[in-house]
Amino acid sequence: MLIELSACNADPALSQQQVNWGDLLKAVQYHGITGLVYDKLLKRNDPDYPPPHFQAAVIQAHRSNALQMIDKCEQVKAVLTSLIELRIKVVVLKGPAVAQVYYPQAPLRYFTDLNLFALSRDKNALDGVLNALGFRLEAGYVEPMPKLIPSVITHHHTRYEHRETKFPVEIHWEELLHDDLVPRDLDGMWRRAVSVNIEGLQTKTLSLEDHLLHLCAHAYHHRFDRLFRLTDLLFIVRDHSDEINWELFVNLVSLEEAQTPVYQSFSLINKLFGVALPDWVLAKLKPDGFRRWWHQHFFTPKVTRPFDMQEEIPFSFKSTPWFQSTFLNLMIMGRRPEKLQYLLRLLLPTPEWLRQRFNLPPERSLWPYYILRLMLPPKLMERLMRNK
Amino acid sequence: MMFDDYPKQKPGIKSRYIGGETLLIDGELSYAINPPAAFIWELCDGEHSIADIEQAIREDFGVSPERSLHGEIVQTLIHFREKDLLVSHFCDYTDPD
Repeated sequence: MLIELSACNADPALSQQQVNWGDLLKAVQYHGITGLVYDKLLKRNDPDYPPPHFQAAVIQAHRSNALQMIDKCEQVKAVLTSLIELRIKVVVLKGPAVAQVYYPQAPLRYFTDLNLFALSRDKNALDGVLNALGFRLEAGYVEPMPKLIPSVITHHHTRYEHRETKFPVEIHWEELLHDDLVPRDLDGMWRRAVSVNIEGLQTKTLSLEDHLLHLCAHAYHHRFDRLFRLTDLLFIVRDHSDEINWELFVNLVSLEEAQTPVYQSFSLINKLFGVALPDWVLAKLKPDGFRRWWHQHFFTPKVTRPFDMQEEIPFSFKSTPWFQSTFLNLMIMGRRPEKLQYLLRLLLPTPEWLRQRFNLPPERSLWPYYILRLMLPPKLMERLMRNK
Repeated sequence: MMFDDYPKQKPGIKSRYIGGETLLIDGELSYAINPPAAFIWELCDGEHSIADIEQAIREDFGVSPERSLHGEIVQTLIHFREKDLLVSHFCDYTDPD
């Protein structure tokens, strides 16, 4: 029923099922698809099914969410206005851009924060703009670690929060693939960025192909925990298929070695919504059998088991515990040589990295730390140092 | 019945399309209105008379000249006025036959 309600298609039909409407309402809200269900109910215009109390609750919930969105949109407008006035280049990611460009109607897609992709050189300027608008760095912010190798990021994003409204703004510097790796074609993503009108302001968002890759990686990163991540992809593939340069998309996925998150995202969309990519595209995106086997046995999408709070296996090659996370990441995901290079570099990190990691004063000799580091697995050493 | 010839929105009221309806927000209060009412609301700018609004609806919604819209428009404006959404500069109004 959730899938039928969230598809936002022209067909107003809805199958008759035995449904616990209270649970369904909770699921609709949890999955962030209240707007889509509201749209479905308006199109159906059937006062009897789903039952009136369910319809009334959905309509009320959507109106309430829409009211909250008004304040959020004003915050988005304020931030973008300042950035445009100061000519600071940004690319709007996810929520506001996805709603505007890909959704059948923008108000149906909620968002909770503003995600901006920005250039490192503009860090101070952005900080100044956001501070002037009443935002502050999130509590507990620490300076990112120095990079050990150029292609592995140390800084996912910088998060600001408005002092009064608590509206968050996240600035992404290099994080678009959600696998702790700098995109190989970062410059290309900037070059391909397209114009979008958000809250009456002309700004930029990722190209259709780059957004598709980014959204697949993001949905996969969250283990498809909420349906709205999949409906974002659904509307792009179903309603904008003719605009997608599939050749470019396949090349981008191949360049970033992001076959697993992309292929698994589209497989799930096909399974749930019956919308498929062109066969030749899917064939080119398909990861090798080895990766598919590991994925199948160790990675369970959450959307197929909503409300299941079972703890998931972590999935970063930079996380502990090693086997469950790093090993699994290396088996399933791409760009293994860079990840292995990073892990080796952890054994002999740069002096700056070591000093910052263990908060060592400049006069302290680093030799004992290097020797210890080579003798002990890095993670164990870090744990010992933390305990100390 | 008394009604303003050139209805005008009360300042400070925000309107927002939410994908099927439009919300009118007056401070802590909000009202959901349907698309025809939202169309009328947009024309409540103090520069369109009720006759102008009627004409605009005819053109935009393709309503035939035989069908009178006057009563429905006035009814909508009365709803707005009851919710204190319009500036009140009333004058005598008589619903034409």
